[in-house]
Amino acid sequence: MSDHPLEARLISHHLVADLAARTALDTPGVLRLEPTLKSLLTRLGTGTIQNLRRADTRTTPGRHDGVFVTVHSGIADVQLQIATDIGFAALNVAQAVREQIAVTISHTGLTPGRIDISVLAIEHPTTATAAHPPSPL
Amino acid sequence: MAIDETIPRLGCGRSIDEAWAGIKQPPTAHENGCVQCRTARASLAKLAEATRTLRYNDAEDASLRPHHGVKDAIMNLARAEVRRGNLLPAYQADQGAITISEQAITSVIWSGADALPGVRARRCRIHPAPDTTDGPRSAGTANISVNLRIAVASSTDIPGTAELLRQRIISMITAHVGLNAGAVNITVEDLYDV
Repeated sequence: MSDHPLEARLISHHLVADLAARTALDTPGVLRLEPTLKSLLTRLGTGTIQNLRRADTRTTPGRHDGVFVTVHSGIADVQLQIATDIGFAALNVAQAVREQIAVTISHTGLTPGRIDISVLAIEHPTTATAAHPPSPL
Repeated sequence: MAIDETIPRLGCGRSIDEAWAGIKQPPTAHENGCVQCRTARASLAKLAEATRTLRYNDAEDASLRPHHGVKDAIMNLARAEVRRGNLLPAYQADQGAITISEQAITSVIWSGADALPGVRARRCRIHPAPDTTDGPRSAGTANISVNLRIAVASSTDIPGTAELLRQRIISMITAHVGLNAGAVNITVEDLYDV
């Protein structure tokens, strides 16, 4: 048996995206992640033919909507788009999300890189529920 | 003349790209007389035919067309991104940036304006204050400027209402957005009968 340790990549960008999304949604003042064309097309790019044939996009897992993650040399960069509750100051919410995601990434053993947050909507929670039913993406 | 060694070249010196570029045209005098060019054109013609067939099949094959749900999702997001307007810089640091969409701020302003009796908010544009686009934000710094057009009820005291609206917008941007409004320019562009 070799004495050399095996190299393995345990933390994928999918996992970081999941963690970032969950962390953001757990932060007070975050209503939801906001899907963008970039995140949709990135997701469609995986298994394109299957996605084009899919009859009902509502069955597509939406876990990466609004999150874009790249992992390089042990550093994780995150771009996240959110909608915030009008009862909170959006900038403070975004700051809290950024800080929490950095902590979460540190726990994976990766180094947090750039964490860019975009607040795309500021809404009343009740309005958000009525005007934006669960994303069909 | 310098020759790019990375481009595949035929024995006669022409690049394969040049041969490909003219594949839809009749052969030139050189191509008619050059064995290498004739061979290359014959091979490329098969490739051109194969790509044409694939393109045609893709267009005809219903199973390769995106489902209307996918098309709708893409178009809905494209429209939403247009509505969101510009992303305004709110915070910038080496560890990352925070931006807030113009639409998000506008929705806060509209909700504040429309709650005032006798005021109907119309077009609203937000601009970052020129001296605060870089560096972490500090309290008291003017971050954005607001240009809002409104219509007011004909019986409204316009100067008083405009000042009330300005103060309301400044406080709402601070409370709900977390930025500071430096200038709030209000234009009354119409009157309406109650």
